Amino acid sequence: MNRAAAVEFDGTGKIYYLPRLGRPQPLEAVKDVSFGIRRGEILGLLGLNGAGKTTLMKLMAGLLSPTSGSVRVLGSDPRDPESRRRTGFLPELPYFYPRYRPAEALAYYASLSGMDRAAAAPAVSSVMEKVGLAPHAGKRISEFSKGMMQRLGLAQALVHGPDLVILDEPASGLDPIAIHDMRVLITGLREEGRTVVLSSHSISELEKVADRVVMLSRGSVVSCVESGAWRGTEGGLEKLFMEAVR
Amino acid sequence: MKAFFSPALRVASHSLRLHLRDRFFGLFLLFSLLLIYSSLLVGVMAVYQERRALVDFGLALMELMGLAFCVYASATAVSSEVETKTIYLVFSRPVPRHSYLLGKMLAVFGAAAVLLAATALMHSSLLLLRGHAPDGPYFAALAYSWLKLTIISSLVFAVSMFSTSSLSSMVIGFILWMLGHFAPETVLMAAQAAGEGSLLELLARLIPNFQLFNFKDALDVRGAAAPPLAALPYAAAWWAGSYGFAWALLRRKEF
Amino acid sequence: MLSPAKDLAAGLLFFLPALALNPLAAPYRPPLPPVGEIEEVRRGAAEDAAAVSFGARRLFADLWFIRLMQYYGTRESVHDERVREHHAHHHADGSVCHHGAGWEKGLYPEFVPLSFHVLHLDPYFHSAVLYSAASLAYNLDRPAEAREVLELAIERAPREWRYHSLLAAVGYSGETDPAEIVRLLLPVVRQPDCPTMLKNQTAFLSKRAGDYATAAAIYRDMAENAPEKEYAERARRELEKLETEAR
Repeated sequence: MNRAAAVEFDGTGKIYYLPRLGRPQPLEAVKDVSFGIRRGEILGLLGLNGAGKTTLMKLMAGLLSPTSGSVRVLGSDPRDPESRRRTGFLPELPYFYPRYRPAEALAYYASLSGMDRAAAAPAVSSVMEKVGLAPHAGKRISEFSKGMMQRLGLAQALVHGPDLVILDEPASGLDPIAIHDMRVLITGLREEGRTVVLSSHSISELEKVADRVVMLSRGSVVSCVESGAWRGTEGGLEKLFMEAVR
Repeated sequence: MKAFFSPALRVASHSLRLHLRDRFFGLFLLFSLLLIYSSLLVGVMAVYQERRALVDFGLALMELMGLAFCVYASATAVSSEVETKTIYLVFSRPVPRHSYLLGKMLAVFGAAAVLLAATALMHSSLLLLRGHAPDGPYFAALAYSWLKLTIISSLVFAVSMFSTSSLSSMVIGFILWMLGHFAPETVLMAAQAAGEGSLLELLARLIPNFQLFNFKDALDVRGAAAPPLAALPYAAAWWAGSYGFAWALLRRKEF
Repeated sequence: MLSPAKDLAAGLLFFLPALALNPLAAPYRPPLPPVGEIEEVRRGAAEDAAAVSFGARRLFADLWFIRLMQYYGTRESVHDERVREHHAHHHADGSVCHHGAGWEKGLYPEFVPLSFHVLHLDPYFHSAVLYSAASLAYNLDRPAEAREVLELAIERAPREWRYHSLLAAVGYSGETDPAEIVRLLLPVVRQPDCPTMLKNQTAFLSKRAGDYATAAAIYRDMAENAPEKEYAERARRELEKLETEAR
């Protein structure tokens, strides 16, 4: 295990078994994936639909167990409580109870991360300020726009001060201004020393924010490029991606 | 111990608040209020048996509303979080699955208690308005009704872990409720039947006996329900069984 | 590969303690009669099934009792063949059946089946049993059927002393000693859930026995507490008569 690694995949594979009449049908979502994520970097996962991005994220978040190989997060099994305490996860299109106000929802998730009330209250206020939800504190979640919902999703991933932040399609469904704000937030996390892993369909977004991009195709890693590579290439990350997946 | 109960209580507290704020909870409460006060008509028709009619109608109605709510809440407690993917936000945190399940179950039990207490308050006010006072057996009947509701809630909760839809969990819940009230008859028929007796006996062994808790059906009769020292362990065994079953199915489930 | 079937099987094991307790609970019999003995009345099988399925037999007994009171409290339908046949001839004592309501004589062919139905659902419904038996014995002049109702009630609820008392009183109703009937009925009449009609009958028998003090006490109770206006007014009139005669 590389001490500088926040996450390490070592020969990791994941097979889903789809229920069918008779025998379940296996679906290999991730095949023999091996790479590491350095502490303090922003790593992008890029791939077409079904490439395995979400599966890798769920493996890191401890929501799935690998069928083969191993996953280590911050030196531990991602299913360990300690590992989860130090990880924050934003799923794609997060949902919150509509009748809650944002602070109530955040206080609940903070408590589930092990924070007591005394520690949670200032953390909730602080994270709401950080993601720009403070002016909307009095609204119910049912009144939130899509952008505000994504901000709330990011807030719940950050409220307990995690070392590793996993964001699945954080810019999904956002308008350009909201996308810009999200980008600023993400780069801010790196400046705080946190490790960020994010997935996106948007090549341009990853270009602007990631230090490194891992490209996936049909469950396998097809390429891993540093930011310098696409900045120095005509056509940028898109050209590198098209070459890698074809 | 703290690592087990602390997250469970947090989940329970949050889930209880969700249940109490749920529009269906409010609808059940409102519907109960309307029906309880409409029972005045039944009381009037019963002439000098007004107290008995009001008490019987009220207790039956409160239990029925409680049943409808508990079956709905238990069937959707976990499934709604799976469908909305809110469960990712929980299980990506250091919340053991057994604590999560316990919290969810306790929340439904708590919501059932709140619903019964609220409807009992309404009903008691009606009784007092008509010059009748609720007494010890009345409150004992409510307590036994609550125990019945917790058993059916825990069973529906368990069923929801493998059921394909919330609706089918609810339907199974109502069927179990009805079968459970026929438990003594099933035992009797098993004893009397020849060839099919073993099947009936098996059925009688597999369903909870709700008549043990049916205190409201024989309010003035000694031996109407099992004594508390027998009823409580019996209820607890079904809670534990349902909880264990739910945990066995959830512990390795992936989302 | 995960095995949901194995998890399901493992999960079922957790029910073993609960299933083990079930045979211990099997000897527990609720005090109400078995479901199989509830005979259908007025196509009410679905209601009876609902009553048992939802553990609401007492409530349905109340509803059937209300139906009984409404049935007896309304005019007999001359479209009922049984009623027409009955009204075609006079009674041996020279009385004539009235069609009307108001606790008069009549056939009321469904009275006994309705009474039995209430009994089968809840034999501890004292008022209903006393009301049925007393109506049959003293208003409808059918003591044999009154005895049938009471005997069934005693079979179901043998410790209910009110039923024994009224059965004894009905047994004496053919005799010429009303004082004995009053003696048997007084403890029943003193209960708060005693049907007013039975109180009225006991007061009447007390007067026949010459015990005007007892009659007055019962009429006073009726005047103050009877929910039926007609009975309350009747009791006031009788009380006035007794007080006038006493002066």
